[in-house]
Amino acid sequence: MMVRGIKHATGDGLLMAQRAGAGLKGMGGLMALHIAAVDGVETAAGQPARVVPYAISINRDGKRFVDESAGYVPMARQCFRSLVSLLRWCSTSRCAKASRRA
Amino acid sequence: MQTFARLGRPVHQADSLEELAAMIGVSAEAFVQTVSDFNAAVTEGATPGAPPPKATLATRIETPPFYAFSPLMPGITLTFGGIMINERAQALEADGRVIPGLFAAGEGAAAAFFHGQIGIGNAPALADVDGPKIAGLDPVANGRLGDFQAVSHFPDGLATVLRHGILLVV
Repeated sequence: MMVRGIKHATGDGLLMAQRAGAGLKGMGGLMALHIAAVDGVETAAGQPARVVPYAISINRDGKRFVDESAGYVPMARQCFRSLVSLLRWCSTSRCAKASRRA
Repeated sequence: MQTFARLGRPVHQADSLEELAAMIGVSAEAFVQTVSDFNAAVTEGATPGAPPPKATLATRIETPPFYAFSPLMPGITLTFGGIMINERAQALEADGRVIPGLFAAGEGAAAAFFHGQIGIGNAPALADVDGPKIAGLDPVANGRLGDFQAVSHFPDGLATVLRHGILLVV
């Protein structure tokens, strides 16, 4: 059963069970980032995953950012890396501005 | 692309890269440069010199029409783990004590790990062998569904809820 991208996979079941006192196990695997690029509306059915290795994937700047033939996990990691560096850039530039003001 | 057509979702198509860039909202200049750098780097099905390199399945992008899937968003596949359960699908506290009345099955449960194996996608592990039977319950006769928000996601009722392994409270 393919559950990738289904709208119900939000983790609220896990949170509710936790609220009832349940333990979770094996969640460290989540850090492997098994997260694929899916359509923004049809998140479960619209998945160009089979096309990606043959195509190029670009970010909002129009630039490539990952080896598309390496699969969806490296792609997810790269996306998160960009996000982290973006956040870092935002916070440091804010710091720089703040320190100039100070 | 047939799937997207069936879903009524757009696959952008254009006869020029500039046109395609406009459709997906990226800078035409940057996009054309990216494609041109990529094409120039293609050597025997790879692009060792491209930033970043592509190890295999690299072919030049030069014959229109050009296609783009956009926008895309992240879709989670699995968590690997989940709610701790025992062999009767009863949810457990972290120290192994049973939580009365709370059961979990399917993707929501750490079933594969319960069996001591590392499995990918444990959804079928309990769902295939009938969650409520394992739990030793007749959920239709004796049970009631919790008023959990997750349950309301499944309009088809109990069977779907169990198949998807969302929590069942009896």
